[in-house]
Amino acid sequence: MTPEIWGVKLTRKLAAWLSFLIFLILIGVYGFTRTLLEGHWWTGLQVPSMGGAVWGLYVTNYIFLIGASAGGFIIAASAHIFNVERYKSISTLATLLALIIILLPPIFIAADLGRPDRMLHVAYPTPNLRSPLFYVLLTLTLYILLLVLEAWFSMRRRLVMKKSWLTLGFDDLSEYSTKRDERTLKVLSLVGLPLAVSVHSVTGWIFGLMKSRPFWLSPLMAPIFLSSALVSGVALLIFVCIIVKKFAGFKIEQDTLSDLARLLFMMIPIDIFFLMIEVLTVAYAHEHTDMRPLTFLLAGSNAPLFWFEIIVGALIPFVILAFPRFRRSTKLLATSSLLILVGIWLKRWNLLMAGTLFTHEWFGWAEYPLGSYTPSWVEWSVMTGIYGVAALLFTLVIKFLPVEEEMKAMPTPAIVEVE
Amino acid sequence: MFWMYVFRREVGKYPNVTRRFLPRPCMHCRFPSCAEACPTQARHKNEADGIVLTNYSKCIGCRYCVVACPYNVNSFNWKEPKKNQYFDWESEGMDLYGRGAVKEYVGDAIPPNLNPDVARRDIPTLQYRFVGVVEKCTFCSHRIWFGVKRGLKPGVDREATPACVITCPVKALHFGDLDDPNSNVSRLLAKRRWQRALEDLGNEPSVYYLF
Repeated sequence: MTPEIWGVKLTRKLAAWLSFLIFLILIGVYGFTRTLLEGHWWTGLQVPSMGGAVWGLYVTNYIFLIGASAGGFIIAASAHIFNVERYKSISTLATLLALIIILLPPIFIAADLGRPDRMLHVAYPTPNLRSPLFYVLLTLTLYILLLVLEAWFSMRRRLVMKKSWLTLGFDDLSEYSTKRDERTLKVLSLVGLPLAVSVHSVTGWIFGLMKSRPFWLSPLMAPIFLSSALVSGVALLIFVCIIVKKFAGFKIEQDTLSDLARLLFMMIPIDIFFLMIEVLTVAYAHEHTDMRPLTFLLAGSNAPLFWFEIIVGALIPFVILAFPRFRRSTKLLATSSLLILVGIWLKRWNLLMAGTLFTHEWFGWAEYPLGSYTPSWVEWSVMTGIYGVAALLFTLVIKFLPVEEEMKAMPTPAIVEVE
Repeated sequence: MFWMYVFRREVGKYPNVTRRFLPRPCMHCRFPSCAEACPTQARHKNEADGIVLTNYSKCIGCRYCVVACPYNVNSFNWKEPKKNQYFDWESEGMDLYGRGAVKEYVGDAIPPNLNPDVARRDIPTLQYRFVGVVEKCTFCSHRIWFGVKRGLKPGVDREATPACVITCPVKALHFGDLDDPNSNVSRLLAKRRWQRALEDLGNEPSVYYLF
């Protein structure tokens, strides 16, 4: 006998998966509690004057996840705005994926803050309108609200059919209200696209506006963040589509995935192009302050990660995705999107390290000892826990919400009412 | 934790070797990057004396000021600041205003080193030290605050001068009012060659290095 919760059968497999995720979350809760009780002493972070990175694994994941949520939203939004039928079939999944992913960066920031209880002081009572972090909070909040609305409007029809309380009483299934939903979605997407662009740009400007860090101070920071966000976002969407197709039995056409893969294939070169401009400018000018972080990346202690990012994280997937035959293979598609995700994660990491570890020299000789940064077990455990939260949220959403789009031959609303 | 860091460097070739030192307090810039970056206005520039201070009860510990400061003067309280790592005036019977049994030691003078473990509710920026907030050199703002209140002149009267300046055995550090053309530091700057650190970043630091 399998117990049922809100119409979802709690099979043995599902129960095992859920308890595994809760175990992961508990690992994270343990690490988080240790930092709350004893301070960030247990992390590998250190101030630059003592030689070390003051932002580490948490911030890497923060910028990575903000980027990774882009793909889902951009695909869903373009489906609504340009009426792309193919993407419409996964638009709800994409929106919900974006929503779940964008809920994680604030948790990472809460883990990173010395006083997470004061987190909302950024907005009240004494906000600093000259700080990029204020605009991070502003745009991120608006973005989350917009994603909630977008997810609700794209699911409303199916929620009504499921007789869910989540419809909040808007149970109208007439053609007029369906049309109104679609119009609202279009408007939301039109508002959301510039908002998404500003979310990623502002994330880039956290770093790009810092004259204290020679490697970060670059007008290219916002475009790089935008292009990396698109690449990692679409890669994540493809990967998640394959997962739900295999494990949750979603009906996603292979052509949709191939289309997404072609989009990904076209965006990887843009991302590499921006990185190349940055490296070329710094290397050709070879100013002393700028060259130190670049040498650290290209040939120093960080070189293995950097070349892994370029070769395994971008070039190999690019070559795989170049062939339409390979784009149709689920296995190769899953592998290459996973490689891209790892590559973009490492890109964030490399960018963060090259910035935080290297500062200006004074009078040509006075500089702080060059430190290094290794994440400690607390940081890894918190990271594990937060990714556990993501997987748990995603599983629950897939199980309890009508994420899957209606098939073309769905019964008309009139028939459903008769049922 | 270094509120005042000292760069060291060996120069010359054996046997003619010497060491150079460069102290680094907070620069108390005219245009502080840290105060610009701070999302909660915890880091601010004190209007009265131009000292850049942290309000520990507003700081959220995001460490953006650590990143934004070109001079890297900030330190972060990674764990609960240890009690009594400074001489504990409170246990010697001093109340919040520096009166009590401590008078036997210092008389009417301002204590040289205010115990940061003791909250000063009357000075907004000198409160309890917390874990998880950023701190940095304050130019001993409590000594200046008390001294000015007593009618003393910072830089001239020892009690109204930062502790590093009055304890330096070789008198390498000077302190004073830069706005006053007749102050000791203004006269020194007019007489001697000086340089400011990372001048081209435009922060206009208030710390001048004499040569």
